[in-house]
Amino acid sequence: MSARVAVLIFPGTNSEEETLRILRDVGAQADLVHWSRGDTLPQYDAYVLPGGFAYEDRIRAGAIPAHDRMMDHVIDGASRGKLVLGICNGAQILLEAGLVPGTGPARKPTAAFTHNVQRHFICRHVHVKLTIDPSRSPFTAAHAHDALIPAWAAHGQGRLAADPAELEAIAKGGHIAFVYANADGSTQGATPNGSALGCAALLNREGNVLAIMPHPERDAHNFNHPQRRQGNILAPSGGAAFFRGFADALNAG
Amino acid sequence: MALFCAIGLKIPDNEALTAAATLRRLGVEVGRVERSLIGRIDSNDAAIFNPNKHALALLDADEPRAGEVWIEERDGPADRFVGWRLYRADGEPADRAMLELAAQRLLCNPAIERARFPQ
Amino acid sequence: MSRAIHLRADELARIVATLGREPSTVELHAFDAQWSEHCSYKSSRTFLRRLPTLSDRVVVGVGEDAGIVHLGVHEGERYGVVIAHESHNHPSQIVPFEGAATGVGGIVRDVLCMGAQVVALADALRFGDTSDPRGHQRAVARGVVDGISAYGNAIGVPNIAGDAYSHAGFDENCLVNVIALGIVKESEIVRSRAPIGSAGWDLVLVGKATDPSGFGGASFSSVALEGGAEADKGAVQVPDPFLKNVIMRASYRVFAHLRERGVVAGFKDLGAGGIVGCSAELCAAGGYGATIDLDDVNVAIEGMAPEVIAVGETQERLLWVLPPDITADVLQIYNQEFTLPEIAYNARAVVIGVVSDDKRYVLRHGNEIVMDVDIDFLTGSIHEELPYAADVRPTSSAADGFLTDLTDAFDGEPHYVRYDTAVRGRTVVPRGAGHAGVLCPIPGSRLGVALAVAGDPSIDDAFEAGEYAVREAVRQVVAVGATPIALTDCLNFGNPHDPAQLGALVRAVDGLAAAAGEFRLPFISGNVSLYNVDADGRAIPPSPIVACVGVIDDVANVVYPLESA
Repeated sequence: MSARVAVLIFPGTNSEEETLRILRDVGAQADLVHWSRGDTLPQYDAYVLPGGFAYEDRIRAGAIPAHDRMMDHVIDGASRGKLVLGICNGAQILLEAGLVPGTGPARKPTAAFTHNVQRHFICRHVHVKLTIDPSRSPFTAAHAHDALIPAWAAHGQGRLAADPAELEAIAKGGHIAFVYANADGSTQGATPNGSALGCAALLNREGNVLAIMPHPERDAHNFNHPQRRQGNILAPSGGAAFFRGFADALNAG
Repeated sequence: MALFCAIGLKIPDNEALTAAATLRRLGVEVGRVERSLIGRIDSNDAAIFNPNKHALALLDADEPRAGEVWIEERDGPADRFVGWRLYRADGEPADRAMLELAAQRLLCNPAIERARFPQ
Repeated sequence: MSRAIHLRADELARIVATLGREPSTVELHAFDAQWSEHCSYKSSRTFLRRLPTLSDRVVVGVGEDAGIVHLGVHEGERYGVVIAHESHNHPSQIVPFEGAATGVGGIVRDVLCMGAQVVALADALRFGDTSDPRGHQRAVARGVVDGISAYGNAIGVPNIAGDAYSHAGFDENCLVNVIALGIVKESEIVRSRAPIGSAGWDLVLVGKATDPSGFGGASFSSVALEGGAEADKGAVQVPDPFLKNVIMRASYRVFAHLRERGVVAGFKDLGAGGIVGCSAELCAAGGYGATIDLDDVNVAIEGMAPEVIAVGETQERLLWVLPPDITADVLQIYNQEFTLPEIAYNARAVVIGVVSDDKRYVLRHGNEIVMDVDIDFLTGSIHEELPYAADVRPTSSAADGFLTDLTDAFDGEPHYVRYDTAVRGRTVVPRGAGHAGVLCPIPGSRLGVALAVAGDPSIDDAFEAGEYAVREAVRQVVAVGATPIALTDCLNFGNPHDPAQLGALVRAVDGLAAAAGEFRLPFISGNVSLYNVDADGRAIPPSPIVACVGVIDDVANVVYPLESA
């Protein structure tokens, strides 16, 4: 029986439909789990926190959902090795909950994806490049070294920030899973928001919790991109590769 | 002329209500919580003030008042804070210990923010 | 709290004569809101009849909150595109961020209340001279774009089309036109009227707790801005896109539940005129009356005067007409499953009244009747036959100085990089990439929808401006490989009591009608914004703005523009 993944919806989440759809398109057994049904979460084998503005980013992006009862189940599951993926606001929730980079005590954030250097929301098509050994995480095991994934950056707060000692620990500990890159794989000038170390995604030490700021699910079908219009226009492609790795890892058990 | 002031909401403040409920769940026994934006305001900022929504208070000093903690972004604009006024369940302003606990458990993320307490 | 009433002496006299008595305070405010230009199109209705509004693809034409045109068939189901187009000009000039954001909020509700999923936004903006970094016009431009961005991004609806101009002619009257698109199965359309047989059904108010902000909005928008603008800041409403996000999702769930139970309900959004404006129109459209108890309305503050509760324009509210045996289910969905009261202070769904089979509109407050009038008298079309100059020379002084590149005002980048253009994952041609935005909105279907907006304020002949707006919007849709199927329009003009300025509006309508007739395209939604004049009474450049929606049978055939060098 294949593993079941829950896509969590908090009040204010807004990317749940396309996240659910791409997971199903690449073969994962995925369900939406609404915030008033959080008690069903322990039945699931993996968790995805999609993008949006959960609880209106009250106090700080991700701060309130990090303490939500739904997150109790996610934190518990993560400690037992369940795969947990956070996208954009979902990534911010994982950082506020201390799951990623995971260099501090439980439920204490040591880093944040915070205000872009330009101090406003940006929406841009980007690429992210894998910077860790693929074998480091089930999320990335199916990828080639230096794999390049297309995505949309769409956030007002996507810049990795932490105090200098923590940034050094993040870099040295292999927590930076993806960096921003250009279409040709180079990284010069590719970071759109001033994120420290060009970081687009963070991984915990165990490799089972990944927090990515850009949205691969928004460039995940042939119709999403002018250069992938051949073949079946509705077929998954581009950013779908990111989710395919996740689904394969889930279904392999 | 730039004045140091606090702008808060006259209509119910959902952010403050959520902060209070979450703090209580995290073991900080607050009663009421009030939130305001604090900083130097000049005439160019008048456009953001909606009299049906906002209340404005001029501040004597640029330090938190009793029962108040100010949160500032490390990389953000200078002299801009989010001010949280915390009251105990009995209605008295929170003491320093409660303010520190609230900052530590929720209101301040030390990776990107600093907290300033009353002297 | 008191607000100036803008009813004229002759309108007041008519009210007294028809009621047979002096109106109550609540009634005065209700008529003020309902009979203002904004609500009743009193001076423009005659001319709008000159626009073509029919085609064999039109499913729901003008007259409801949004228009619906047939898109195509997928898996045996007929799908419609829903479109609504409105302006929020005066509020955006006063409080730019909130004015623009609430404009987006309102247009989204217009689409939502037809039973549709909201799938795209577009915006057409006209600002004054933004070249001074410390000038008011730049602050307006920045505030407006931030407001549209904050709202659309939070509810998760992509902005896929639009334009922007800057010219001193808009210094005192910016234009903020917003368009929303939705997708609905034609069998699942929900109408904005009390259904047949709904006498005795519940009126269920959903959304934000009613508060005093925004009191006076409808009549405020119908008055030329003067020095008293400071006091009117209070009339600009407070947006809450977070709450709207949750209300949208809860409403989608309610739509599904009503379908499962085979219930045909009525659903309408609250906008100009607040509870009175919405409930009166909803019930009158079905041939019914209504009785509402203002004490049942969920409020943010105790002790609000009844007229404020009745007519105040608190945002993020909608109204259902439901058979009583389904009401409990709907309340449960909004209040328990989607926890509205827990996420925003006193937000909820609540029964506030009942549809009545007489034609009376009755409000109660504190055990008293505070309003009791004939509902058709309240909502009936107010007609104003104003003189207009048929032969109109262009009145704007300069046909030059119109900028379309606003990057200087936005840190060297296009303003629309602040808009999310890819959320929902259905975008084929994003904002800025082509002449029109394109979506592939129905999962599993190759059907595409294109959307473009046009209107050139440098064309000082109003007839030509109308023609151009239609032709250019159509050209943009065709340029991406789509077939145009419907149009919307917003007429942004000056003072209707000035015959030359009203004449310009009439000429523009004739231009729209001529061009639309050439293409045999119907207008299915639209809006009029008047009184856009400066302190000297000069009107803005003639500004008919048109949106065109098109269909592509297979998004594989989308035409991308050639890469520019």
